[in-house]
Amino acid sequence: MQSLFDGLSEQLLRGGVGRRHARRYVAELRDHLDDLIAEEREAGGGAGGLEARALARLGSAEALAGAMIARRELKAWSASAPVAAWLVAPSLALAGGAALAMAGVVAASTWIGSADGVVMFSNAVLPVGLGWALVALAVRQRSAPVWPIAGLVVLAAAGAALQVEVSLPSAAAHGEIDLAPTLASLPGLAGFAERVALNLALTLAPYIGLSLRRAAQTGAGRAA
Amino acid sequence: MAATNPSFMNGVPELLVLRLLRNGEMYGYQLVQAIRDETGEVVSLGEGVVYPVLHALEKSGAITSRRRAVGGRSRIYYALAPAGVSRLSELTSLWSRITGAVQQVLVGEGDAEPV
Repeated sequence: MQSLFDGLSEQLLRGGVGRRHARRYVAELRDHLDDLIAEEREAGGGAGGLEARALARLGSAEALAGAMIARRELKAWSASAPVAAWLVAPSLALAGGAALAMAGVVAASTWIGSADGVVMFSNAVLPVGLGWALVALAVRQRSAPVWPIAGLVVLAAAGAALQVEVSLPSAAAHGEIDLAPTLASLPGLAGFAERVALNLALTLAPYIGLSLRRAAQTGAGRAA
Repeated sequence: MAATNPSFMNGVPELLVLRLLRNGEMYGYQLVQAIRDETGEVVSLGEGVVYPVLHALEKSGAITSRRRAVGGRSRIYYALAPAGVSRLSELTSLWSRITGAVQQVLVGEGDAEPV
């Protein structure tokens, strides 16, 4: 019985059902099954077939999963609007995060110290951090790999293309903070390619590792 | 137990759930039993599939849910929301027109109004 509900939970998530709905559905089905078993017991049926009869009344795993997966309104955002969830939103978050960090530097009383931090945060930490958030979402939601991988590639490219640059003010010149595309020159292109490769390595590796671990756990659950 | 009858069931579970919840809040198992009893087992759902209907109705704002502990068990009770009252009225009206139109065809009067 436990394996029925574990398997159903996996099927729902793979079908794109939102985690909250999937979890609650499985909990409600467990309660419903308990009620059906109690009803069958009261009706005086043979003890041997109690569970089987209750399960038959509850519905097959395919019917239970299919009824939920067919409801578009119960899908997770990542399944119902994959382009927005995997491609657009992370890039917007990247640009927004970099803009906020730059605004923080401008608002700070002194640029010295905060400037290095903002460059590091915007150019290195933010793209990788957002990539890890996508990885966590993909693994939790059991998403098919196409969208998460596309999202990580787009994010790695956007993170490498948009670089925050800070020039500290001196006696002769004012300071400058800039969010600039790095693809305008050949040296810029080489640096871009390096940064894409680094961002991808830092985000794809955990994704592949966690996905393999999840697949092994699911396989072990089925075998048990 | 009566066999389930999926081909004529489009929209019917929503209608029955909303109508039954008009009498007061219920949890899923109670609702399924009520549907079976009230329809004399003519309408028989695969019992577990009532929950997607409930989740969808809640998502649309037609019903609300709350967790209640009863008899040592925690259950999710569903209740009709104001939006559900108007949805029930719409569905009831639509259902009456459909059954009226089908009945006209069956008795051979033809000329049913479009639904």
